[in-house]
Amino acid sequence: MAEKDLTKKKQAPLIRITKRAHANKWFSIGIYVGAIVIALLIGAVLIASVKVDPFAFYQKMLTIGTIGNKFAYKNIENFIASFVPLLLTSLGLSLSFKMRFWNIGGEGQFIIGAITSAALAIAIDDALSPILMIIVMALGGGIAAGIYGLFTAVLKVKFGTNETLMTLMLNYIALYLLKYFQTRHGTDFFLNPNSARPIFNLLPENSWMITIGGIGRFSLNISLIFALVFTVFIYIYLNKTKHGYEICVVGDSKRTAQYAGMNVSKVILRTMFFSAFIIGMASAFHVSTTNTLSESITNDVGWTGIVVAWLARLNPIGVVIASLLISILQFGCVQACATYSAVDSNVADLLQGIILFIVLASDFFIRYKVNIDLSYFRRRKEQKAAPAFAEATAVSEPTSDVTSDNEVQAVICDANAESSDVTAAAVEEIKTEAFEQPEKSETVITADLPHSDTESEANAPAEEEKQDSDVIESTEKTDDSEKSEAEKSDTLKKTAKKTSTAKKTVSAKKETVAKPKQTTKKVSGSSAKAKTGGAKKAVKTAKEDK
Amino acid sequence: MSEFAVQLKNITKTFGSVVANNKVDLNVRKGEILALLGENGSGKTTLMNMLSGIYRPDKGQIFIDGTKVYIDSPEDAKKLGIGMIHQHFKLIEKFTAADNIWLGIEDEPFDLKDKFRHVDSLYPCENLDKAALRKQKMRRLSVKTKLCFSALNYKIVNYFRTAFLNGSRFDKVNKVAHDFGFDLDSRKKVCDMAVSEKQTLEIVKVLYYGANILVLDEPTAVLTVQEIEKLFSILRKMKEKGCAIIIITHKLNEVLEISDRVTVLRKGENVGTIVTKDADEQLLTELMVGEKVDLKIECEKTDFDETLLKVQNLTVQNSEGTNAIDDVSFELRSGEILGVAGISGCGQKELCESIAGLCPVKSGSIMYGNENIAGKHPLDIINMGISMSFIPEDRLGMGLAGSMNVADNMILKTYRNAKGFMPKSFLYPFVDRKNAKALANKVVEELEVSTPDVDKIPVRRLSGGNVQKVLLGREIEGNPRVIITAYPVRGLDINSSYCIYDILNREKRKGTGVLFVGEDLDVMLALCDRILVLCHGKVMGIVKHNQSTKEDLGLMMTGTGYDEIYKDEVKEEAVTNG
Repeated sequence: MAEKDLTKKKQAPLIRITKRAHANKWFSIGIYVGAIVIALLIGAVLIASVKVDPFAFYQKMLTIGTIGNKFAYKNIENFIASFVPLLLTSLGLSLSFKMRFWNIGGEGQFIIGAITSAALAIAIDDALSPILMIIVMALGGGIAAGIYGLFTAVLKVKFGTNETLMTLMLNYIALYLLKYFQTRHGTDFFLNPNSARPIFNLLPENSWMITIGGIGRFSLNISLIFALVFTVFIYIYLNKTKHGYEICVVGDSKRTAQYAGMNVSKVILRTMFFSAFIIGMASAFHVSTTNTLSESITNDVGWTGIVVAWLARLNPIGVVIASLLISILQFGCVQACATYSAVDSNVADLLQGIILFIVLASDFFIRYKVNIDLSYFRRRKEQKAAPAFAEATAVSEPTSDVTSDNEVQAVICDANAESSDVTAAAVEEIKTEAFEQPEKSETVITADLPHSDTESEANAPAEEEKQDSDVIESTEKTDDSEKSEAEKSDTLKKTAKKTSTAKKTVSAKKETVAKPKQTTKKVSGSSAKAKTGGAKKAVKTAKEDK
Repeated sequence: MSEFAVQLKNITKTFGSVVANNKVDLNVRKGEILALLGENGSGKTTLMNMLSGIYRPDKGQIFIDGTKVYIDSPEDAKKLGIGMIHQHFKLIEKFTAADNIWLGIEDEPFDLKDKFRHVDSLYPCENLDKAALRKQKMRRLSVKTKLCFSALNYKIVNYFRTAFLNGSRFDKVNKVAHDFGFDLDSRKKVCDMAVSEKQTLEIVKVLYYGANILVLDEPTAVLTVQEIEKLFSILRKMKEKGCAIIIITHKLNEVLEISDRVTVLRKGENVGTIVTKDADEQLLTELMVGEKVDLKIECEKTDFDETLLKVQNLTVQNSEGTNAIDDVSFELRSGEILGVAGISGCGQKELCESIAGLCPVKSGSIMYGNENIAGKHPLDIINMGISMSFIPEDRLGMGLAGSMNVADNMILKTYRNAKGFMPKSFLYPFVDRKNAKALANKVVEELEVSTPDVDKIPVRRLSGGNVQKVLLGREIEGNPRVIITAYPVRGLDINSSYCIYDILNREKRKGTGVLFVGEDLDVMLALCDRILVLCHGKVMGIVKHNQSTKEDLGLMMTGTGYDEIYKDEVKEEAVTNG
């Protein structure tokens, strides 16, 4: 029983997915670009839905609001200020991800770095020159964040704790620590003494980020230069040095690393410290650029960095591209939203989500090849046309021809409802014909026709035409649907005649099998008017013939 | 309906650019055991995976009992009565035997459509006038409605019967197992089972689901001689009951013993089907490999006589705190291959790893020359200048880094070394990739590793034999004095296996001592000079290869002492000595 069911239902599928051997580099890039374009198109629909021109919006967004802006230089400066922390944080995270150490505590490490560097700036005040000050802040923030990250690594190495949970929870500890510093609690170390409300004080001037002026009013934030140099450094560190090699091996298999004589714990501790160190340094630069602490100091780089690192496949060069893209998206969106007030500024997050989703989904097309088998439709058609025959050959139960039975019934119901002017007797006549016919044909087939269904399919239409042409001369001038109707009723009548006279050729038998299916389908497909007209004619011709 | 239980016609399957199967035909009769033979990567498992619904063929048809079928998923295969027993068991370790079976049990389908048809036949609508027809239709409708309710009822009852576990499942499974003639404790957890028990469970599982076409993928790879005999007797029993059985294996002697016919695949193509009676090992090998292969394993005598490694009273604990290695003592001499035989999990792994410094030693000593290396860190052992190579059983999980390329894997142990003029290695921060690539090319060339590239393709993507060659190649490049290899030919085809044996013999001639942990006793008896038999971490005895038989070794592996088997000889020795 199960086997029969399967043969009936299961067909070779329309879409088949196979694995690709090697994805071409340019092909993958093309897919990614295509994915981003699709994501932007979806975003465009959303933007258009609030009656804003999406192209103008995107233009504003992708140029981060520089065009036609008197203060374009300010926009670029602000853009760099938000881009650098994201780039550095993503680099730090990709380092630990490369070792399959799931550091999702970028947020916490960033905050700890920010608190420490701000504390250093306030404590040292103007004792150091600006350059030294920034170096001290970067090192201090880096080391503090590094220790904060190291904490998780030590627990992991010593007790095998889960680093994902640990780093996640430490995020909140850092965040609430920062919030605590923003309350009047006695020391008020970070707060503005002149304000009644607890707000963070501006940092001393010596700790402000150094900028290189020159191009008009635009001045370059040196942290950008540092970040780009650092990217190259990380690239070399990961791909060329022994440490990078160890990270790869540990990430691949700890057992292999042990086997090769590596000190796995040491590698994990070192890499995690380094990873968090970079994030802390990024936060020090950020604090020095914004000149103050704030509750939203991280700008979610710890989370966004995870996205960037994965989009870039943990490749430092890719990290630069991905973080640039995400920064433009976020920063540009805010700028564009300032112009188009109908669009909420959270659209950036929405777009980012859509892009990420589609890019990750497009990965599928890089790994797998989708083959669409168009012959599926042809096969399905054949299968649909043939079940009566297949059933008949497979099983010789009298009740097995239910599908064709039902179809005929459905047709009759149709006819009943729509052709009220046709006499009941005529309908009954068709009905009885239709009922007799499949049963007879079935028995005939099982008796002497063990052919394949396709064969009879191929033969049937030709014979149909030939036989029909001499009978239905009168209907030739009517329109197509009517003609098909006439054909149908004709064949019904004819087959009925044949079965009753029981004098038939083999070819005619074949015809009887294939016909009812096709004709019944035609009936349900054609218009009601044609149907009634056809039915009338059919009845008439049938009577005449008799 | 048909003479054949399974017919595969013109099956083609490609993975990317790799053609795994090319127009393969295969038939199995009912009550027949067909062996499927072929080298690694010849597409045997792929073919069987298509039969069991894991893959779908790109082209070609599958006929079960003469009916054309489309197998879309393992579910479909199960419905068609195809049961596959995979090389790596698909069992849940923490579940009992019965629960593992219970997991896949489905409701009996309630075929509503079939019932409806029956109703239609009970209330015929032919030759009725309009009023009667309407009446008849109403009758049909009311019966059909009732049927719908009963189907719903059936579903709910069935859900409660299978969704909640009750105690009777143990008895049910036990009964079925007993009916099929198996010995199975359905209350035992899988993690407490021996390998052969797990295999029995897998077989019972597919039989419980009503399989009458069994596919076994390398079932004997993990079994001892006695267990294999038992498995074969089970298979013969199944055959008598009319099951069609397809068995994939590398071992020719097993093919000759169990199968009725053999189908040989080579590079994804069917190169012929032979009745087993007319075949012999030589013929099958030639078909598999496509050329004449010398099937003799040499065991030369060498003139070296130096003790390389002396293990004394070694005791090693495993992670659970029991003694995995219990008071083991032996010597490894230069120019010999010392085999280690034993049922898997009898301490072979711990023995190898403790020598390589990867496993803490509880007591005892491992002397290399005059130095005790027991309990030292692998890095220390490397730094002490001890040229020892450990080729672990888990090639990709331990011996190699799977996602790195061949070149990078070549320097896994030597990446620390200084380059050129640098006096101390730590002063030179970079990895020497140029050298690595040269080394990789050398190994690829010498050992005929087939890989498109040494620095682009991750090792993971290479076939089993090639992975092993890369690993062995790297270790041999270090000119070791001692080689420890655990199951070096596991999962390798015959050609690659003989290639590995040749390499080991070549090293032996150079005066290297080889510790060979193996599983195929025939091979061990032919290849090794001496064989040490382990049973539950204890040494049952060390026998010379030309003075022992497979059966003796099998007995020793299951716990019979050396003295018991060789009673007469021991007595004789005692007499001559005393």
